[in-house]
Amino acid sequence: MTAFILRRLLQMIPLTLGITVVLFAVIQAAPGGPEGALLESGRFIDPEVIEAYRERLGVDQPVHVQYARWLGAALQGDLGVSFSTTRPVSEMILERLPATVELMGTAFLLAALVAVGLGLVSAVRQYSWIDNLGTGISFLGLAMPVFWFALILQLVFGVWLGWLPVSGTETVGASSFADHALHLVLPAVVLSFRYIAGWSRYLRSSLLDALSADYIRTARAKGLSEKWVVGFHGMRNALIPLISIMALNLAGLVSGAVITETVFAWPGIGRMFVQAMFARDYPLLMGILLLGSVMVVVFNLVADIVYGLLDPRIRYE
Amino acid sequence: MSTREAWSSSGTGEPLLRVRDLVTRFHTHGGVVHAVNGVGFELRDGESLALVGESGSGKSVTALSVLGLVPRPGRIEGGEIRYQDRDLRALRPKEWQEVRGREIGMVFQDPMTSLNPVLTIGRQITEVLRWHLRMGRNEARDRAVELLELVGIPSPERRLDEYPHQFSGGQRQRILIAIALAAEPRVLIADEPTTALDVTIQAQIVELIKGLQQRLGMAILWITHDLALVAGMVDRVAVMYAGQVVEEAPVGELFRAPRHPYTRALLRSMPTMGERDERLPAIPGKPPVLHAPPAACPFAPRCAFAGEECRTAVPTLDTVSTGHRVACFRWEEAGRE
Amino acid sequence: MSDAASARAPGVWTRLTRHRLAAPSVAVLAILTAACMAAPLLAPYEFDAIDLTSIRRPPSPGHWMGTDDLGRDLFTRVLYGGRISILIGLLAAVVGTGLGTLVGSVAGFFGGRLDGVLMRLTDIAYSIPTLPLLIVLAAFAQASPGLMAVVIGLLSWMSTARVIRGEVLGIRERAYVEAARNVGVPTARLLGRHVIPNAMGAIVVSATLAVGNAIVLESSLSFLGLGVQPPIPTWGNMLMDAQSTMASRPWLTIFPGMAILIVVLAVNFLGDGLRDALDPSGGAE
Repeated sequence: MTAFILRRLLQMIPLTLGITVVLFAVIQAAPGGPEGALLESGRFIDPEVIEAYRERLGVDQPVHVQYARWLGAALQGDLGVSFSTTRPVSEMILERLPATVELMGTAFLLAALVAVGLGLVSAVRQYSWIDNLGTGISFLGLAMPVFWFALILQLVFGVWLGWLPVSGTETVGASSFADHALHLVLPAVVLSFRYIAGWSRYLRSSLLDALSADYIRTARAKGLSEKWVVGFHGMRNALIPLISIMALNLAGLVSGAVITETVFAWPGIGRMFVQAMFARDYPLLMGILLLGSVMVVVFNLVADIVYGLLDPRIRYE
Repeated sequence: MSTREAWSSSGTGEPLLRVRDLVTRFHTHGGVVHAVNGVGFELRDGESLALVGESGSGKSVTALSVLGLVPRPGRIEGGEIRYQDRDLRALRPKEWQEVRGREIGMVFQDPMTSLNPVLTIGRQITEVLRWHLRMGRNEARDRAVELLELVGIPSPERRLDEYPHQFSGGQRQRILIAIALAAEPRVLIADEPTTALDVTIQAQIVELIKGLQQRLGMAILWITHDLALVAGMVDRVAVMYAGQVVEEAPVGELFRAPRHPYTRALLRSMPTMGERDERLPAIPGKPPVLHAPPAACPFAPRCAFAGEECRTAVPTLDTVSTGHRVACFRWEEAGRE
Repeated sequence: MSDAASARAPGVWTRLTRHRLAAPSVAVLAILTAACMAAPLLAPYEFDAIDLTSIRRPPSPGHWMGTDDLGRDLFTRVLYGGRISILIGLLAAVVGTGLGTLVGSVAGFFGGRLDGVLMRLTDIAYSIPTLPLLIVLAAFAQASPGLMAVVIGLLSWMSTARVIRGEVLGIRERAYVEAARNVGVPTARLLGRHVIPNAMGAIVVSATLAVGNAIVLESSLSFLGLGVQPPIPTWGNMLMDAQSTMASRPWLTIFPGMAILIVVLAVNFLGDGLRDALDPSGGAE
């Protein structure tokens, strides 16, 4: 197992390097490069400050040197200085990270719970109304733009019914744990929806596969209760691939958070990303994009490890 | 039908398991498949009976029917299945749990896929012990070690925590036998437990089950296409063809004086021990897949003795001598040849 | 798409039209696409006709979907917006599927080191979150609809490449391809004549699903204010405009969103139907 993890870790290195090359190329592709963006941002007038930035970006060096400097700094946690606030990017990201993690974590748990329940019932009661509901959700989850779903929920639950707050993290002047939790409901539902759709169908089909397997017949012939046969023998097998997919998708929640946080004014990294985009704050954009990409790579590894830990056939091979 | 007649038997006392007029059908998109058409047999305490037939003869479906495990879209649509004084067809799920594993154990065809790949074999054995015999964790574990010893798995304590893929096919079948016998059932159904195994392993498994029966005294219903394999260990043989029992006799009598033309062909073409060919080269043609209940003797198209009545009526299973029954209009002519 | 499919194997079109969800989807898509393309003929108003005497009207017989803050007819704008959104979806799908097919078939066909390199590239592209990267790219240049489509296409080839590679790997092993290679048929011809046509089923399905994806991506970008800029209407930028007035004029939010939902649902149903129709055995390779 240790050798397996080590090998995967080694494989991550070229992948991560490749990603940094692409991201760096994207900055360079900007009209005028990072320098142009810097001047255009208009925040800096003092020639000395601008010169300091130019120095820092190394704009008078060849491109590969610039890349090496950028990468070297990034490896040390220095993602540059924001054009819009003149604060270190890493500091700004760390500041907003908790809100995003909170939203992502809630959405992840919600999606996992609902998807497992829905997938289980859909498989056991094939073609029942719950199964059909699951099918409907899965198609909607893929076809419905996240932002529109968010808008509709705001309209229905915020404006028409008035049950739930539609933006921010708390009611000014009336903040409490319950108030905060209420603010979390709509963004978490929106962010989890697509994953509920995907995961529940995935579990349904992998559980149906498992339930038609010979070992399930053996389990039934043992005289075990149907609940135990499905819930333990079937689910134990069906959940293994699902859990690794969940780990894989966790990284994708970052992308989803961009729109969800923006629509619900949730003060996390996703919203900051959109704000950075409008401010043409390249160091901040790149920092967040790099974080998102590295998360994808890391969660890929996590997914593999989880699979290896859960499936004995892989562990011992 | 003849199965309603008085039963003759070679065993003693009341039958433990009694199947009568069993009808099991599969409602597929391509139409109804009549897999089992009025099968009947009895199994007494400690007795062993072989259900023999080619693939597609309905023998496995019969076995699955007994335990209520016929897969969809199959359904038991007629007949009676009795275990002691229980009507198995009328059991509720809760009652099935008391019969399966506890009263009737079953071993399946393919040991490679019949064990749960993500659970240790210890877990899969102790599960039965804890469920049926209400054993505690340690007690169950000790008993599982004994069971593995019983079925001939070396160093069982160590291997208890291993997973199915770490065992060979023959070992897995031994483990499945241990699982089936864990709760000490009075009946063991063995559904072609050696088919998927190597020739030498086949004989070992047969010997193992034979030995276990002598020690534990359970009754065995052995499902096989290979008469030679079980000839030395069963008391009686019921030969199946197209979802029906066509001949039933004590094993010695069947070999000595087979009456049904199909049985005779089966014996003539008897593969040498272990050969895995399921076809019968001695009889031209192959067993039919029935899309309607049989209206004639289903073997007639392949039978050298078939006459007019064979093509217009279904022969009943009639007693020809003590404990020997045949479903054939012309068994006397066939026997003279 | 249906032409390509029916040319490949007779009966595909028949199977498709019998598909429970795909058949109505084909009809819905045909009608909606035709209506959007014919917007200048069908639309009751000009898409940018400001009518200050009838602003913010809810749906009525004169304005089926109501009017916006400038008195523009929403139905007209949904039709015109659909024209852009659907065209972007189609173009992006062509670009993305084309690139994906190229990468996937080359990787699968040649195997070895080239396969390794191309698949690592695919992994890299896969690891960068698409929407945020699109946002960064869009921030550079105010995108024209055509450029938007190309950029979306260039960022969504990875899954197609993986699927096609798998298909081609299977096809490569088949006897007739082996035979053709042995008698010295040039590689390009082999790819074009034998391999790609056999992978056409997978390509068509990929392309169909890509249309839906691209429409959603475009609308998301436009919604963030990064896509096609007003006054050209797209479903995405209409929704961006509507967001601030959602409470008082919900129709402005509901109709363009419904349009996206219906088109993308239909496209996805069609993709599913095509998958079933092209591969009745359910994934034999």
